[in-house]
Amino acid sequence: MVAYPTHCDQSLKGHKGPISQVCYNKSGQYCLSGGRDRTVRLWNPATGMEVHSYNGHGRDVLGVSVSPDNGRLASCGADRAVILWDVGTGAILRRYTAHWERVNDVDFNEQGTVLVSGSFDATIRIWDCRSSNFSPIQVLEDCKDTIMSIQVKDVEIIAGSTDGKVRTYDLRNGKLAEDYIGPPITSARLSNDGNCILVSTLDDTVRLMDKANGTLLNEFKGHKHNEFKVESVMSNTDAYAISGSENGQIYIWDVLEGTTVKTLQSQDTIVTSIDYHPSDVAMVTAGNDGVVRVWS
Amino acid sequence: MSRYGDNKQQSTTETKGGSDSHIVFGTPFPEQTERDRRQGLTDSGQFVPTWKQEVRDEKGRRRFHGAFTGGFSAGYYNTVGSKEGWTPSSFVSSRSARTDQHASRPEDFMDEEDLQEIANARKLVATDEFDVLGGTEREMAARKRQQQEDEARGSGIGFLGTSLMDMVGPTNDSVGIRLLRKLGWKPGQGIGPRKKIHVDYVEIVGRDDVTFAPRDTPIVDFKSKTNSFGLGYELEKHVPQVAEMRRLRQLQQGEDDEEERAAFGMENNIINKKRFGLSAFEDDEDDVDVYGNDRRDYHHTLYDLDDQPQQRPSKRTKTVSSTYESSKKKTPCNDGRLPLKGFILSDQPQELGEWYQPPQVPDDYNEHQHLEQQHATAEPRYNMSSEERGIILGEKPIEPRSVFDYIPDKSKDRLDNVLKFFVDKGPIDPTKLTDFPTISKQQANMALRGYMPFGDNLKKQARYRHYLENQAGLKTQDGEPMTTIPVPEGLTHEQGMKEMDEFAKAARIFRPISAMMSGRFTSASTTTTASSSSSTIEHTSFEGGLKTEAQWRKEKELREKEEAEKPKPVTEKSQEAQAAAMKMFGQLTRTVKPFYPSKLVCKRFNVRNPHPDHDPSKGSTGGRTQAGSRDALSEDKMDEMLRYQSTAGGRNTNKPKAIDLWKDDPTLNAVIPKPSDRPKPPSTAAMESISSSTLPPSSTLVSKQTLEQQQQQPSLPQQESDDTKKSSAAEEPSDYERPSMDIFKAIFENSDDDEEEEEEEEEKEHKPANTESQRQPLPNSQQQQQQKRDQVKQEEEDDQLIGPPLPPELSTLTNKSGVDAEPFRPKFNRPAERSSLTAEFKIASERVVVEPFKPRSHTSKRRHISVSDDEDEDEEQKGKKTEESDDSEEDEKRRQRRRKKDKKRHKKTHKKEKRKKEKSSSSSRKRHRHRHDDSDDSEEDNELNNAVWVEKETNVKKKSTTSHSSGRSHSYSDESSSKKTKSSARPRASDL
Repeated sequence: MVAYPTHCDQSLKGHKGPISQVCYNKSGQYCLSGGRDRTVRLWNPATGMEVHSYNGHGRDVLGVSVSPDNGRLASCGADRAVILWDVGTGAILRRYTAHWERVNDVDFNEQGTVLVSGSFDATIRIWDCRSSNFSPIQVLEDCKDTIMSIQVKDVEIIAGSTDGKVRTYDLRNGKLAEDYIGPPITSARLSNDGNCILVSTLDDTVRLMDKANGTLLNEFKGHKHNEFKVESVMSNTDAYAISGSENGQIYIWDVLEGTTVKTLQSQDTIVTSIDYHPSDVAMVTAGNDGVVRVWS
Repeated sequence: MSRYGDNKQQSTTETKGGSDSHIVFGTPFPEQTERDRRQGLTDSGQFVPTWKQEVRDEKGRRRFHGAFTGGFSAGYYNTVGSKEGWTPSSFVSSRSARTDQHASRPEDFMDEEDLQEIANARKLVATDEFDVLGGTEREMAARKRQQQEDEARGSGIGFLGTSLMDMVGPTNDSVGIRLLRKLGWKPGQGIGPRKKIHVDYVEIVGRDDVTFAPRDTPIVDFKSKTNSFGLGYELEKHVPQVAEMRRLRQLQQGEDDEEERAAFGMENNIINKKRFGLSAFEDDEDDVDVYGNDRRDYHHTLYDLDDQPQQRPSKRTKTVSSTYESSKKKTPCNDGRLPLKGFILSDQPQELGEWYQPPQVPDDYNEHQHLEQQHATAEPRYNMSSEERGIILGEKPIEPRSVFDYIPDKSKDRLDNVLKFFVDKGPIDPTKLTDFPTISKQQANMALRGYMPFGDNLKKQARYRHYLENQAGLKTQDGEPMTTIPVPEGLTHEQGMKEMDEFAKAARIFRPISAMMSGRFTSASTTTTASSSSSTIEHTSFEGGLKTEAQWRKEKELREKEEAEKPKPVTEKSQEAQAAAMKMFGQLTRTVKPFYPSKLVCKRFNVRNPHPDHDPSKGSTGGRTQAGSRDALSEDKMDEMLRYQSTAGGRNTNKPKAIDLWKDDPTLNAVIPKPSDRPKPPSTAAMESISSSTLPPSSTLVSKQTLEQQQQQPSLPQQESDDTKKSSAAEEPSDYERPSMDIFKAIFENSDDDEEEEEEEEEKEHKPANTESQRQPLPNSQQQQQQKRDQVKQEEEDDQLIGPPLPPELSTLTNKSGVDAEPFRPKFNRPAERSSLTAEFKIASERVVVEPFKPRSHTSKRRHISVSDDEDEDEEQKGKKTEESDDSEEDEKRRQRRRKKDKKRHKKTHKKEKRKKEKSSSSSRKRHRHRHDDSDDSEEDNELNNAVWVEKETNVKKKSTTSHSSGRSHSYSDESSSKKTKSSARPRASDL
């Protein structure tokens, strides 16, 4: 029994066009994808059934996220809107439109009270889900360029920007740590233990950085990544780093050794988004061919 | 319905009558066909004559309706039966069925309704034998009663008798008890498996294999306490009124209950009593109380008790809720079993609060010691002085202040100058030149590059060069000019000073006009006839002229080449980049900044505000509007700009003395000075603080020294004559590159205007005489008038500034809080690099100043990644192609239109924006447009730069999806790509 997904279980077809982001819900029972066809779709990866399609974006959906209670969804897109959905009814609860440019990524905080979104206008905006205030409750303007990825974990906001810096906002200590990586960053995600940040940059490299002091822990290479937003993710045990590639493969590296343990051929085109199951050995990938693939 | 029927009838009769004059409205009902009749289909709205109308009950049976069931009409036309009255039924002989005859029961004479009623009235009760719930208790009660009776009789024999009777007589135990008995249970024992006894009792019993029945312990019915009374408090006992109330209510409810039941036709004695006379047609569910006796006593509700629901739910809702509950009950728990009785499975998951580990106390932590220390400090609290307390609290010691500390520097300078007349200056060191006029570093540099006068006196020229080099800061290590120079050989002190004046003037004159202008002109051959004693004017004959285009271009190319060859200034960024390239991530690549989360964000994230004393209106978040955008010319942006300029130009605002040349130089007077050369318009406290904060620490130090010097060594009497002017000139070092103060004024207008106006008004009220007296006769030249006015204004302000107590020198010499807030960060520039950095910026002239107002240019290199998006996906949406392309065309048109408009508007808006920035509460839309303006402008410039980072479209050939349909894609992708290019070229607000 290998500890990483090896074969494709399901292909979830339904999106018309490339998929920009895919993610599991908090229990891992469902997965969510958003794509160029302006829809957010909820899938059951076990059965391959499409549960619901959420329509309401004016243009491409670029990022999706699930609230911690699995009751709400958030999506953002090229229409500069961040939309908060009700899962059950599919109704739009809130639509935040204060961004000036396309919004690349969005995430809930762990209480589900706040949405954090990062945009092409180089700002991170924090939205309140509780009150009916539709303007951001805070705007972070430290980034010098597009924000490609946002992750909120506990009291920290991790933002990866094209200016080549990973920014870690620590709300509890009131500190912002900027780690210079160099090439534009397309994805910056915390490991599950919250101590490391996995950073994908446009120089065919995935780096594992220490969150505490910004040192480089390991470097993963072999995949092709120099043009597009390709995401990388740690497995739920933090034993493997997984990234998509622009040649349609999925690379799995051993975190300690830094060696490629497996490459999975997914499709012919780019694999843009990956999410790992919160508890099982499973992951979902999506890419430009508009098919969500479930691996186990 | 009947009307229509009538009509129809009428029409038919009329047609029968043969007259065609009638008019028919509407569509007639279709005639009832034979088939319909056979099937029994009738139109419910069809007219039926009265005698054919029938009354049928709910089961469709024909029903007698009449007075007995409460009807208002009965029988045949409200008679009985038929037209003929009662029709006797035909005689049937019962002779043959005589044996079948039996006693008739009342049920035989009842119809279904009556039987139904009886069935409803019947209550299913368990027989005594099977009554598990009540049986035992009843038996026990009976036994107890018997015992009591026995005791009452008082005789043992009697008791014996009854017990004997008991033993003899048949038991009427319930089935349950009998079953239990058979299982081995005996009265008095508890129910459950027999247990082995506790070890302690083994010795008493003697054997350890004896098992005992469990104790018969009563089951305690724990009721949760729902009220807010104290434990054991019984409301009814202590407040008898409440008990009375409750009793009344129960009574009431009993009645209500009955009424309710009656209303639903459940138990029917009451219906007959109460509702007799109501029509059978009357809706039973009608809640209207026909008798109008609303006997509800609302007073009771005042004492509403918790355990009694305020409004009893009606029977129907009860049933509904019960079915709902029952359906809920049926959902099993996680382990598959049904939930306990009285519980229902919640459909909401239980949320557990977040759990934080308690902080780990270090092993060497000793709270005792800490306490002792606290005691030590706390004890002599009362006999400490404020200074001691301040030291303990880490406060800065308060410097003893004099009145003069509260006077602003400018006023102090003036005061010093005035006092110089009266106060003995002390000896002047005759071997050294001090207090000679200075020029700014940049000017000195320019002058060095420009024409060198005094060609006839080479020694003097050398001294001039020396002077310039000194002023440019090339002589000293720290880049600051020396303030004392030894008197050159062959000159007296006085002559030396005069020469210095001359030099300063010369430096002003013989600078290249400006970088841009000088590039346009060829240098003229200049002849100087400088007589050191009589005249200080140099005669310059301009024989040069405009450069030819080719010449200029050539020079430009050369310059560009030079710049390109020059190594790029080593910045901190590249340090990071170097470190990153060497994979030395960590200290070198990390910068830690303070981050000020807003109050609400902290609340939502459930954390304490890490900077509780941070004022969001100041510092890094300042200058930001509600929408989160930053003004293009916000205060901190300005601050940054000034800082940049000060490092680039090496300006020193606090130079002790700068001669104002145009005062006594007629040629210069003729020239209208640049806005920046004009005397400084009223500076504001904000501006001062900015300029002071922008100074590098070394310069502040020097300026401090020089200030002190100035206070100690008053300047020469000749310069003291017009002290007011001097002070203004000293404050405003002649720096022609500095943007006009009007801009700054415009920017900080709204913050200061009000104050200023107020203060000015105040000024007018208080000291009009004062200002008059200070006003001096002015030369005719217009700009001098202007200048005078400015000066007066400034003086006024100076006076005003005496009012509020400014902290002494600290306010001007220490950094602003915003700068303070930034934590110390080691820089890695080597001294050599630093010097090269400054050298680089020395040359930069106006370009540097203008830059911040330009839209994002070379710095706007936007890296851009796309998630992207190829054309193929669109193939599937061929249907939408036309409308999409239409949209794109429209978009394009709109954009063009807007661009035209913007170009026209641009010049105006740019200025307007600056000016209005503060006053107009600047809607974000406007700002947005402003951004667009800039973007459009910068687009051309950026095209080359951005070419690298244009968002790419993937050329993914999706073979699998081509089967769906084809076409469409190209126009869309083109459009989108053009959009991307555009958007990528767009600058960001933060860069403005």
